Amino acid sequence: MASLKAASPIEARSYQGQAISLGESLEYGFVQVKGRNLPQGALGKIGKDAAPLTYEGRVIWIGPDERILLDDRETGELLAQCESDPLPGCFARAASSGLIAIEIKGTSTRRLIENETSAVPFTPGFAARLRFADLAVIILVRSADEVLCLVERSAASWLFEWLENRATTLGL
Amino acid sequence: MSGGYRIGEGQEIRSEEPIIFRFNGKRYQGYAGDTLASALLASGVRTFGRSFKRHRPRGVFAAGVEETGALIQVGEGARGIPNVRASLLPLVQGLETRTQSHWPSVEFDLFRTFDYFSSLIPAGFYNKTFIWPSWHLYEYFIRHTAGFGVSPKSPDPDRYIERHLSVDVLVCGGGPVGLSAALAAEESGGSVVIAEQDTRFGGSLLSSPTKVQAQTCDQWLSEQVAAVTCADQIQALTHTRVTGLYDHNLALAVRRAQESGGGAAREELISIRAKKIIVATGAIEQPLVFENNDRPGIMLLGAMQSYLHRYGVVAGRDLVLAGNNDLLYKAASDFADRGVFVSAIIDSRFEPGVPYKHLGLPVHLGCDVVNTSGGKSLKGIVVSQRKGADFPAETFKLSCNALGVSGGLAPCVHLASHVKTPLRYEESLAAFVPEPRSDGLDVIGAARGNFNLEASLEAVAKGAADTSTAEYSQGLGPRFSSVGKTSNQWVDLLYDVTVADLDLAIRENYSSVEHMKRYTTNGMAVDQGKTSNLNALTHLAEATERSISEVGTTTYRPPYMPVSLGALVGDKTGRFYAPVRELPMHRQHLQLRAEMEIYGAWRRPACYPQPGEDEESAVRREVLTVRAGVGICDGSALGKIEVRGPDAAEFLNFIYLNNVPTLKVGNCRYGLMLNEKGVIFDDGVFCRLGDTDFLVSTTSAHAAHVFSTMEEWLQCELMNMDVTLMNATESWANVTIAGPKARELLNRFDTDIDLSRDAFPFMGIRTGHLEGVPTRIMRVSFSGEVCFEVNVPAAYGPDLWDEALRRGEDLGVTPYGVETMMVLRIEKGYMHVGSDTDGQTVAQDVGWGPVAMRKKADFIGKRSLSLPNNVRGDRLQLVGLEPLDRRGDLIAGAHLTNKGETKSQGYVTSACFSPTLNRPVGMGLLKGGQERMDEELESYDCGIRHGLRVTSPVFFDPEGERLHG
Repeated sequence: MASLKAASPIEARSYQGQAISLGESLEYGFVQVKGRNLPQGALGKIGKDAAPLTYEGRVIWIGPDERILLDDRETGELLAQCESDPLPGCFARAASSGLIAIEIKGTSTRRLIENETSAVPFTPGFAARLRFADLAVIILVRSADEVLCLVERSAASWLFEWLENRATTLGL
Repeated sequence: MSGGYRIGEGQEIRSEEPIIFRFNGKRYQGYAGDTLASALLASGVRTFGRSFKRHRPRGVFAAGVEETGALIQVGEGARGIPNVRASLLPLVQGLETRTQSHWPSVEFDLFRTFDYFSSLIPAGFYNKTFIWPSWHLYEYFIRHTAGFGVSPKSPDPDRYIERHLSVDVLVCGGGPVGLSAALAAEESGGSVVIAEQDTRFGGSLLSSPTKVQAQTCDQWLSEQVAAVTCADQIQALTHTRVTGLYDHNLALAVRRAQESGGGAAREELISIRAKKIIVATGAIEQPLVFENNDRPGIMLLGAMQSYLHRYGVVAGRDLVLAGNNDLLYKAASDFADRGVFVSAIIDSRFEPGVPYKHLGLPVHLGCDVVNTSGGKSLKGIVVSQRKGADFPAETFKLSCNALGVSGGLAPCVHLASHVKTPLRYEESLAAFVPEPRSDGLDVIGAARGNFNLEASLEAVAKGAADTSTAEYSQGLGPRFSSVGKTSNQWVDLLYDVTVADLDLAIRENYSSVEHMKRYTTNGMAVDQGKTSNLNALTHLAEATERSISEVGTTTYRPPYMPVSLGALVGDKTGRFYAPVRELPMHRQHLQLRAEMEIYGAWRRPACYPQPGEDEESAVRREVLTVRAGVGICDGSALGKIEVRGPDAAEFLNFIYLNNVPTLKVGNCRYGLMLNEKGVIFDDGVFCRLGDTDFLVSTTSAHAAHVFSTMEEWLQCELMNMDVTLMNATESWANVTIAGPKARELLNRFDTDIDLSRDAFPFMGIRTGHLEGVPTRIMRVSFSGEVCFEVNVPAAYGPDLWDEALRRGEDLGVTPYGVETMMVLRIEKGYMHVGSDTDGQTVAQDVGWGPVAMRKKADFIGKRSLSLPNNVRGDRLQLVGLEPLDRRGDLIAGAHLTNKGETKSQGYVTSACFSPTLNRPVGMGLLKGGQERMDEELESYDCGIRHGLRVTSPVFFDPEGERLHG
């Protein structure tokens, strides 16, 4: 049992604008799976024409050799599952500590995202790692009004402030 | 609302909303919808500024981006903007404006005396005149008299924003042809953006209403605008000027965001990537060139129509129109319809192309305006009648206070030219037109040289390429008056370039168009020659007896209009300039009042000054505490790359200079990573967690680069190796515990790892649990002390940090920062890649030659290490340095010289005052340094020399007993 307390770089921070709200989402844990032999069907039926996409909201296609698994359970379980039943030539590691999920909600969510990138089609379930605010950010579209931005822990605070600033500038 | 020069409501004016504004401190009234130019013209203001060089009075000359006379200073202080075109500046309550380029006032400008000595200041005079005795003698005066307006000196308080769009079709220009093109593109099933710089769509129809496709102008336009703005797939952007086109169909546009509902931002920079770009930017009317053609009251004919129709303002009560084409007659008819009296038309042709007698006006055919009279405003003109070869046969004077001039239309080819669209000189238009392209860029309508609106609309509707040009009936007459004083015939009104200046340039053999431009500065002002380039080319061609095609054009470059620096920067200012990474224990560092600095992309604590301490004394205290007790440092920024797979050892053996396969599980090894040239790329520690499982710890600044380099090697060159790389840098927090009491402190935590010296020796790594969370602990040291690098999942880092400080309080534990760490490693002689190496330092230069030579297996850079240049004895090699005088200075960056000589022998790479040794110590790269131990040299910095001695770089604990403790 861990006696150390976990902390987040943006915990207790939130932004509530006229048409947008920002906050940290603690809904998911993350496991990174990587390997050049990663089978296309092993972590989800990912068609070659459909990538990048999510499979049942649980797998984010990062590249042909890399996935991020989202799980609402303790990631330890998921990791253990990955490690006990390993995919040949592939490796899994816990990534929850390294990724922070910032949740953007509200009617102007799309405007906030599209102001920075035109590469998000806003189809529910879409997910991709792309350049956003000069950072590599995984964007997961849950609906037209709700998006998760997964960002490396060290940049989460900066990205949160950046989103706040951009929302303020746009009057959202 | 009639009165003064306002003769009724224009289309834009909302007379129920009066607006009060100030111009040169004086209060004026306009209306919502006015521009500054229209409001001031309506109030009878004629002088809007002074010219650049000769300080002649200048008035409103145009109604758009081509404005050359009415450039205004808007606002004060941080929000002050110079060179704003009054013709484009929307009137808002409380607007503060003033004229520029004069002293003491626009009405009485002492610098006007330059005009009387203009023969002394021709083109290029500054290149010839201010050489002797020194340019600096004149610089102050010239800099204070030249230039327009005043730039703000304090930071811009406004917000700017950027935006990215990706569409099928971008239409540049919201005139009638652009609107039709946008609708046609949308019908084809594509997403469309149409960008119009004006406040409304309509383009030329707003200034010059005409029947379109058998409908009234208003009816046709309102239908088209409604269709465009309602279409789902069209983003209709007004207040948006496309300022440049770039490769691969990228366009940059600037939108005046506040005026178009864009939130709190003042301007928005929009990057638009389009599969197809349609340029429908229309044409720009060209002026006539005659003596004193710069007086306030002389205006482009189209501008006069614009002010009349859009703002209900007449440029003068006694109006004369002069030109070389049929636009004169349509304009005269327009004016008559609005009750504006035109006293005469001066047409340089002998036969106009349209009927004119029904106008009931005196029409002087075959005549040129050759001079004007007046002071700060136009009072009259001198007309000369052409009579074949007997020109000039007769001159006469006409009284007027406004002269509308038209030298014909020139297609606005700027945007198309940004992406190297070839231009062809079209004789019938006396202008350049763009050649058709087949690579996703279409130029249509007047921008293509087709001034027949119906024909252009028909081509758009058919989806056919608009390749025609519409000639003027009866052609165009000349734009230049052939009589008069050429030194008073302005070609470039903004930069005071006259025909005489062009002639001088040609006489001095600056007859290439690019040379002429730079010698005379023609077309180099903020309008970028929109009304001057064509006339200058025409004159250059005539004077050098070449065709205009032979003369060619200068290079069109973005931006089409000036773009504010704020818009270019967007919101990338201050803390948003670039992403800054924060350590897991960032809040802890702030709570401890650390001196935070940026190292690479990371914000890290430099040191932790206590009350009353400066940085130097804080570093000193922290160093001594680590040497005598224990300190903790946030090392989370160190790169952590997991290398897994059956071939992991072989892979790393190729990446690193060191021998990897011999490393035993549970051990670490310091390693050097070279590039293909043998140059040191990074250093770090690789650790063996299992037979096929490695962890590589890289330098903080290079972590991402090392990872991508490894990936590149793996994916491009070592494809057969079964290895997987994972960057775990962000997942682990690193609390480095260093000092003689480090083990004692770490033992106070609950862990399943045996921390004893024998069970966990120096250069070992152990995995297990610490306080119930997974941990990886490495016994490596960058301080020369016993050291444990404790890694836990990043989320637990802050609590581990707090606990380490709490549990080590009785041990005197101190947090220490990066600057302290640097002092500790210099004392110990540990190299810092990037500080103690440069872009040429190879392994041998830092003493790693024997290791490299012993290794049989191949590794990156191996062959290069044998190159003759890399084995020279006089290479810059890393050595230790200490001053001869214990109180002497050692400054990083100082040159190393032989005693009494000036030739550099190398330089000091790292230096500090060692609190442990109580003297300065340092390292440096010295020519043949490894063979020069104990030699006495000098350091040279900013004229000051210090004696120093070459030593081994290890100043402290050379046997390494402490770190093995």
